[in-house]
Amino acid sequence: MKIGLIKKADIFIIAGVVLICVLGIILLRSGDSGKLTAVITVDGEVYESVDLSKVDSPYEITTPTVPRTVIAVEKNAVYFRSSECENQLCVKSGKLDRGGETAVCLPAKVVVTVRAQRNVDAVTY
Amino acid sequence: MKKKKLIIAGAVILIVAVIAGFCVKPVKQFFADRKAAQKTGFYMDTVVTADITGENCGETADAVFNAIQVLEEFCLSKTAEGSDIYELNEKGKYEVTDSTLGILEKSLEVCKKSGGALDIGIGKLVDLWNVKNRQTPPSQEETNALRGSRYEGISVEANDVTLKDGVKIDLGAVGKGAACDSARDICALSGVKRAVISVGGSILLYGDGEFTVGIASPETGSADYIAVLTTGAGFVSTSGTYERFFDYEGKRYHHILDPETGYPVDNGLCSVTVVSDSGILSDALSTSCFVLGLEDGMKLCEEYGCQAVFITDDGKIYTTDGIRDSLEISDDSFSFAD
Repeated sequence: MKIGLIKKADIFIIAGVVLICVLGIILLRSGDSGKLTAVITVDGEVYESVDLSKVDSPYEITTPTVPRTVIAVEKNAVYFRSSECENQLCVKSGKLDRGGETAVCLPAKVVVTVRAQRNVDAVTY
Repeated sequence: MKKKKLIIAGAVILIVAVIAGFCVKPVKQFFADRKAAQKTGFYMDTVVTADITGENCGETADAVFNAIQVLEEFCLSKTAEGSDIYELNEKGKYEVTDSTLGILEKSLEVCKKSGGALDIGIGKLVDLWNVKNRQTPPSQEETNALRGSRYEGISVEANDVTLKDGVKIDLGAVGKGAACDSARDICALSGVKRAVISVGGSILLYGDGEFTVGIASPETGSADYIAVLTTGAGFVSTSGTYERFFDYEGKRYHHILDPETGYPVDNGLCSVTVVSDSGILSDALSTSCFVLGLEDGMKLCEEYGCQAVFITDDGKIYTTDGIRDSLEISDDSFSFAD
């Protein structure tokens, strides 16, 4: 069967391509929106990067720094549990659970930042 | 007939090639705009983070960090031997570089306009309070002894700077903002699309479109925010009591000193955030406004055409008129004052 210049098979192919494109766009857009990533850097180098939305059971990361810090990782949250530093500002920072939030242990040069598609670009302090 | 087909085929190929040619640049740009670099480093006794997108983002981040390091080590540092400020403080008279001169002149202007609320001449007082591991405030005698050392003792003639009255310069209240200015110059040269650079909480927002900036919680600093500011490209700086402090006999002693009393400012404010099109100005004004207090601080911001957010100890938020609608409170324990 012919419809003008286009064959029936062509319509299926075009429809298929359009469908794949639409699905692809939807998947790409939805995939990242709820993702919360904790990035831990030691002296500027990325030490560990954790997808917080995929943490099933809580665990700890101990940094090989002087002073040493212990970072608690939970589902959708991360924080300094303890530190051998003097001022304990990092521990007092509390939980990070939104994109843009940052906690720092200056003596250890450890920075924990949470990244997300949504939330803020930066925090002023 | 065959010839005709060849001509058509040739024409089609040519048209496709021309279209493809026109597409190369936008397609390249499309992918370049999606390149991103994130970098963290430690300069000026604080954390510097860069979040840059666009062509050459990685190189730009490196260049920004280098520039901040150079600014610290050769110009502004009070402790790095050989820096302009170190040498000036040691010798009392020194020929400074143009970079340092520009920062000094802008700072001195704000010192004057704020009636001394900002004072870059109180280096000795800052040192007195900054004693490592200090857990008790210095005595009244100790602070009184430094009363005569104010910014008025700094004189500038061309690149020659002279200090009198026992003045030592401390650029802690303006250095991070000045670093953000350098960062912007580099971003503009390198042609990146968008950059968010934080020098210890003083922030450069570079690029088109809107940015969202969280204002730190007075309880936890950068780890949590209580309100979100939506703004275009520019600079945002905050001075808050939560950044460096110690508690003694039930009282908090933070790092923002009132040059008049020699003691930490105690006026019911817990933070002031200033938005400006200059990094050094946003930094200098956030300190000035904190020291001046709500009423006079607001006036100073108006004078400079800057926007500001004042947060009080009892959770009230005051803003300049131009920024009110761009601020969204995200924590129930805070509310607009009116």
